[in-house]
Amino acid sequence: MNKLTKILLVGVVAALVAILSLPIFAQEMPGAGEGGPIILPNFGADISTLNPFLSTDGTSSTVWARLYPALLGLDNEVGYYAPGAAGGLVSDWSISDDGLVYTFTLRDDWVWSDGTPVTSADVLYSWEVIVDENVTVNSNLITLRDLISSVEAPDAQTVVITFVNPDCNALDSAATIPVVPAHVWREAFPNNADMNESDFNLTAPVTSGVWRFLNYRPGEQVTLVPDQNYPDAEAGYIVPQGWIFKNVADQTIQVEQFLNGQLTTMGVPQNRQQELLDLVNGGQYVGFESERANYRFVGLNLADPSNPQPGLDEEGNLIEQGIHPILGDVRVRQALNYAMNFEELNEGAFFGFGIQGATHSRPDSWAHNNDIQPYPFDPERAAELLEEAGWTDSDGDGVRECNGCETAEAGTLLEFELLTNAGNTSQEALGTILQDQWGQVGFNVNFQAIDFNVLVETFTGQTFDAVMIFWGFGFPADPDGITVTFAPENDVPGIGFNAVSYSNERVTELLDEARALPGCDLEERAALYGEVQQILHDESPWIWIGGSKTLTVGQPYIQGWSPMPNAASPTLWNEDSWVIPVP
Amino acid sequence: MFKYVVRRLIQAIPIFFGITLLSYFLMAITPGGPVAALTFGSRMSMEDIERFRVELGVNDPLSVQYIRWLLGDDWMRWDSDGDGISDRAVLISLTGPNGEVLPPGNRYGIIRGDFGRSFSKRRPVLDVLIERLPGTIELGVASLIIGGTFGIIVGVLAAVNHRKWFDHITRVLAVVFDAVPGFFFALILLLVFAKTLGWFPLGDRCQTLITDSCPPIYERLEYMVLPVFSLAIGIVSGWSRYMRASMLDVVSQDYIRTAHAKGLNARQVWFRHGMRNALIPIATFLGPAITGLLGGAVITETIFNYPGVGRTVIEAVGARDYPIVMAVTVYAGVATILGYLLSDILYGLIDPRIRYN
Repeated sequence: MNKLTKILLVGVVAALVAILSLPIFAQEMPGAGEGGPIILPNFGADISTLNPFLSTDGTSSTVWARLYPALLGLDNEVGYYAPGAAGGLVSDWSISDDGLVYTFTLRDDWVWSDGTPVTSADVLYSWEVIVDENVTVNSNLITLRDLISSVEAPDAQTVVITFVNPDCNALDSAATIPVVPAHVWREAFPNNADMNESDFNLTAPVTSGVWRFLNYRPGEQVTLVPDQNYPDAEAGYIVPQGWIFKNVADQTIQVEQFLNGQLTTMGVPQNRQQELLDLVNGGQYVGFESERANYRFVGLNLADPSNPQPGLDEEGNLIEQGIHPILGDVRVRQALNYAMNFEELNEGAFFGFGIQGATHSRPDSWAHNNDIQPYPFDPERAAELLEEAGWTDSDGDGVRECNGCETAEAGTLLEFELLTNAGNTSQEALGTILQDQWGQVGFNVNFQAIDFNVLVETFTGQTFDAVMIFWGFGFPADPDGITVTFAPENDVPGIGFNAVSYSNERVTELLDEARALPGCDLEERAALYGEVQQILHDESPWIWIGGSKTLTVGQPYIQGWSPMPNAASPTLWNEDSWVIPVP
Repeated sequence: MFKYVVRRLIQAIPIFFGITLLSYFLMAITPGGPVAALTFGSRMSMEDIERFRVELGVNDPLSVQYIRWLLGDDWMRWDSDGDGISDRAVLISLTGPNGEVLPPGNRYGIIRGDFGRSFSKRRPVLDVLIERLPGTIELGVASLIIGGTFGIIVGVLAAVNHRKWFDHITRVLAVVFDAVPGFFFALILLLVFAKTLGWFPLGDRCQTLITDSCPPIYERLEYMVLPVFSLAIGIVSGWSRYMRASMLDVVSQDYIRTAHAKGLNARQVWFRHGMRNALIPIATFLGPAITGLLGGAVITETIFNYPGVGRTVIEAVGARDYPIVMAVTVYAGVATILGYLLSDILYGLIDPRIRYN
């Protein structure tokens, strides 16, 4: 073989290797819409609607939020709204001196999937729908009717929102307004009320976002495909060929399907958390642990449950509501706290992943008061408080009776009913353990897990003694959104969130001040909210049990898995750039 | 026969209304109505909640709600002068909670084929159910055919091998499979054949892909094997025991003895003379079996993640979605009535000794 032949041979082999290698390198970064699809489990019912105005369930909003642009984008690093942030329409905003008028400038690079630009007319249309009382918009949007006095669109790129009062949560309120293609929706719904009942609500022919709507297969899946017009794609284009929200009705099957590679990523059910965490630590899967948990609280009815009354009369004056015979005494409520052993609760209900709560505020919130510590487990102190409150066990049967208590007749047993929703295994476990722990200090707790609908009716109807529910904190964490639970105006039997009938003038004052603080300085607001938390900790209208860390796992082959703890969706914030093998 | 069928159908009318009346009232008086969960929000006003109640039609007295569901409300509130605005009303109010005139009624009632709109999905109930029917039908029909066929064969063979090992084993297995709860059996099937052995998929109706629908059944048979087996095993165990008993009863008859005495071979006696007559009582199970499949589907569809009516019913009960629950109740009631009628008709057709007058 002469030299030329050798060179030629080497050249041919090199060329062959290069040609053969091309597909391998090409697979590392597929072209637009050429990566494998993302398959997420939907553990719940089908979507009920893709209409953001009517949507009341999390399943539906998971889908429609991917189809329509947000008015305000979130900075994923800090977890708060930022001008020009990815996924948002607004490039900048200004606030009037009186704090009432917010002027938003819209970006000009957003277009609907039919090529029409996204403009202020689309935002204006949304506001028209929200204020139309003939449309059965969801409760989040109904709230806006009281907070916003007008929305105007002086030009195509400007939206002016005027609030009723100076409001430090104005951005949250503005961000709640959905944006839909007005030119399409006006045609689909000549009267706004037509959307109350329309098959159009299960389609989305014109959208704007990372994904476009492809189909809804009842009982099976919702399928979205990339919208390459999306201006904020991480990789410059959308990589996956689609996004599938697949119904999986059973959590055991969900986990097994994930382990079998049928799901791309999923939140892990609590009872399998340790097993999956071990697999993640062993490098078999990728994972992300979050403390942004659903916190379990026990609401204690402070008023007479046999005669529920609103907190305020028509003139706004406080109404005498009567007192709960057992839970109306703050010492009894504090005794419940001292008698609660979180270690046991953590082992028995949270599988060791629990986070004890000291207050209603989420620990990673800017408004959280870090000086407040949870009540220690101190059954002796609990017993002391009960004795002090006039509850003693005179007949030695283990249950205390009223012997000089201030809220009930002599001889009344120290007993109450604790309710929670059936089907939530951790809450059922918590209830059973609490029943036992409180029984140790002389309470007789009748614990029942009941149907969710019945629980809601009993809770809002204010006919309960104690109710255990969980709160999923909204995002971004809005301390005001959750503290309205303690305002007397929300103490309305049948509807109000302040179903425990809590009333404290100082708390009301602090909440009002924090919400309307001129300049909305976060530190100043945090101090005000911190004082609220301290009072609520001491007065204990609720028992802040705590929550459990959550684990999200993903298949090991996902390229681009890069969780951001502060993002609205810590693991999926960059799903548009995920590289997944094509099945 | 015709007169008999007509008479039975006429008799079924009060039964049908009895079922609907009882079901509707039982459901409506169950604590925790649909409005509480739908309006559970921090800033809902009483007016907002009342608007929801009016929209869902649960603000009226129970009797009016039932009549509306049954007969519709287009005659309860209507526009008499054609200007598009309601101006007449009976039984229900012409105006809403804030004094606004409510639109004319647009429900026709189940009597006219309108099952109303789902509270949670805000769509016609029939659309919601029909979309999910294919999954339930394919599982139901396949399991009925396979379960029925195997049940009859096993029953006959058990009778033929009376008091032999096949008879003993199948009898024990029939009792075991009848006693094991459906959900447990389904989970065991998944654990063994899908997770451990990997022979079949872990649930689903077809592979999850970016497509508009699942491929035809013959391209996804592997997805049907376990759920169909799970549903069919109950039919096999039940029918095999009945078939065995029926066969044993038939073979003790004189004409079978005669056939043997005439020198016919055993196979001919068992299958031509014995089995055909033993099948007659089995016909009575066919109708109720069709209805029973829906009950089994509720569990099977959930565990095997197979989309169908069963899962929708579970969701509807949880959400207090009265129209969906009632539509399925009506279906179950009608299917039961017709199922038994069908059984009786088949009985008459198969057995010449039975004549309906």
